[in-house]
Amino acid sequence: MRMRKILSSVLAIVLLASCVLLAIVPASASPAGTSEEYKELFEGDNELTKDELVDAILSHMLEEGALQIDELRDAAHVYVYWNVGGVGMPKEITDSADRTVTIYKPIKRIILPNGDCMPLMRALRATDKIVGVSKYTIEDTLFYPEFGDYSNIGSLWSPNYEVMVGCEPDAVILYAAFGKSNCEAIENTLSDANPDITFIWIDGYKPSSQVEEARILGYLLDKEEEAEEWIDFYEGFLNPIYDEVAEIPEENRTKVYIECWRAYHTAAGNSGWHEKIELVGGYNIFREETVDYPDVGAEAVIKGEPEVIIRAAKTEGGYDTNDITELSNLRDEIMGRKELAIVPAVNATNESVYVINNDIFGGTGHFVGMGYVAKWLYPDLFSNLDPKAAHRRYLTEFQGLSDSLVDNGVFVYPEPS
Amino acid sequence: MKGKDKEKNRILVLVIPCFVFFSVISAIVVPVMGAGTEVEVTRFSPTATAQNAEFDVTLRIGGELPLVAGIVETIPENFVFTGTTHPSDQYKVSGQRVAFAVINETEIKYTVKAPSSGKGTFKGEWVDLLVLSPELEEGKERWEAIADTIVTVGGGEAKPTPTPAAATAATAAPATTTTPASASEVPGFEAIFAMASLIILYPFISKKKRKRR
Repeated sequence: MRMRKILSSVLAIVLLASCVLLAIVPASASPAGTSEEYKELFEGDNELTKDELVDAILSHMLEEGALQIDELRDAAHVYVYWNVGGVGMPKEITDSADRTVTIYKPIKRIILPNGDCMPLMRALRATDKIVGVSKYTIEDTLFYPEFGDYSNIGSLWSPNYEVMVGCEPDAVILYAAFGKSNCEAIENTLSDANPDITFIWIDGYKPSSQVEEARILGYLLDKEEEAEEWIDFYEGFLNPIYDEVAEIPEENRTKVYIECWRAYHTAAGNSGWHEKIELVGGYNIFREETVDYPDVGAEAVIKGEPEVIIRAAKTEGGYDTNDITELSNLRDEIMGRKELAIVPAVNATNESVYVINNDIFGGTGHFVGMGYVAKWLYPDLFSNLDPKAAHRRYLTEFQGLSDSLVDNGVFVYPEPS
Repeated sequence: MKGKDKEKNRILVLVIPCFVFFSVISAIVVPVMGAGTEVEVTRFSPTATAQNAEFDVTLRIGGELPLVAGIVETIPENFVFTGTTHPSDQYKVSGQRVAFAVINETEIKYTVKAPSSGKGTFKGEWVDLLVLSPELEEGKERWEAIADTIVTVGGGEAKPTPTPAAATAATAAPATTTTPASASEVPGFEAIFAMASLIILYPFISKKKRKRR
């Protein structure tokens, strides 16, 4: 009987001790956001001196300071790696939406409502900082196999705020030129939950800002070398095309009707597709439209007299199919539109209608598609250009994927000669 | 209750709490495994010293530069810290504890005066501060221990003897991991272990109650 009492007491004590330990450990961890003690390190002079870091370390080691270890490590990182003239300095940049972004500690946890920046994050070898991704990233198991079990933050149009907040992000990557009201809503809601979150507005899919955005992210994420490596590759492919078409006067440029996703849905001067067409020497017949992605009628297309029609396909073709008829059917459908029979691109002499899947015309991989478009527009100028080889290098060197994805998918129709 | 059953129950009552306790401990300790251990701190000191003699203790900090670390040494009772070669603004004494802030220094030498008799154990802990991790809830468990050094007073001539560290050093792992753990993921294991223990415990308790009735 006595033995039983003793054993019962032991049981009770051990269970109690376990509960106490469980309760104490999370409480000793630092809360999300930036502590007042950390902010004080920069107060007044906006810099972190050696003395301030030393004081913080000594206080921490003697368990006198309120600075938790993760913020102490942040401070050490700032002092060592963000050192300008002997002091640690915050990092400051202007993002693609012309907003000033200032960070006082390294970014370690990122969520990306802007899924177009995912490949850029990979190219910068910064995916270890990602803690939440959009539902589209999770669904794309072929291109993003490693993100299947990540926190699903929803989409730009249907954000899951509970998950976003639960990810406890340091930074959130939003679009600069797309879905502005949605991005503002996300920023406002998350700022209310944690005012210390950094919001970075960049696009990741536009060639005009790709290089600068790679530098912005590289700088903020301490991945400057990786950013330059990516830029060298990206510019190494596109700059020779730009140089070649620079000589072509505007009146001699090939007139292009870009049809996006569905019939008579096109892209105007402020869109990424417009840039991708014009930077490789095309002349977008709807460049002056005021709406970024307008619906236009057949008459407007006929009036524009396009010499080339490029159809951007969303679900047809891509990495997940090797059925070329998905693309060829789209071309046949356009070629078969009776109302377009008099358009130069469609008439029997030219038959210059091309289909390109967005896997290589959107996101960071858009440069591959631009290579194909250049070859379609100016076959003689770019006969030696090899977008397929660039595609392979992009996947293997900058996305950590197998180039078998190139062989197993269908991306353009017809293939340029 | 038969003797065999009694014996069985006693074993269960001992085993189950131990299981719960060690489950909780392991849940708390597991994050340490992910800590980067690029830096290594080793203490060199004599294991014996003369009465009231002053002797040197050296801490060697191994690892690639740049390095930033914090070290705290606990000097045994009756031994007195008398000084250090470390920059005067980079250490602080609090009772028997001496904290050092290391910024690219690879060696710290400090002097201690021994008492007239007895022996004492030097203890120390350090933490690498140039490690970044997306993990949340980092706390003191990121500290690493320096192996204890026992110094005996009156044992003759002081001879410096390296005391290898790493007695409790965690397995090396990348500083930043590719698999993020959300705040809710890590503590989840604790709950699972606790629930498993309760499930195991339940039939035993209910059986006991039934028998009492």
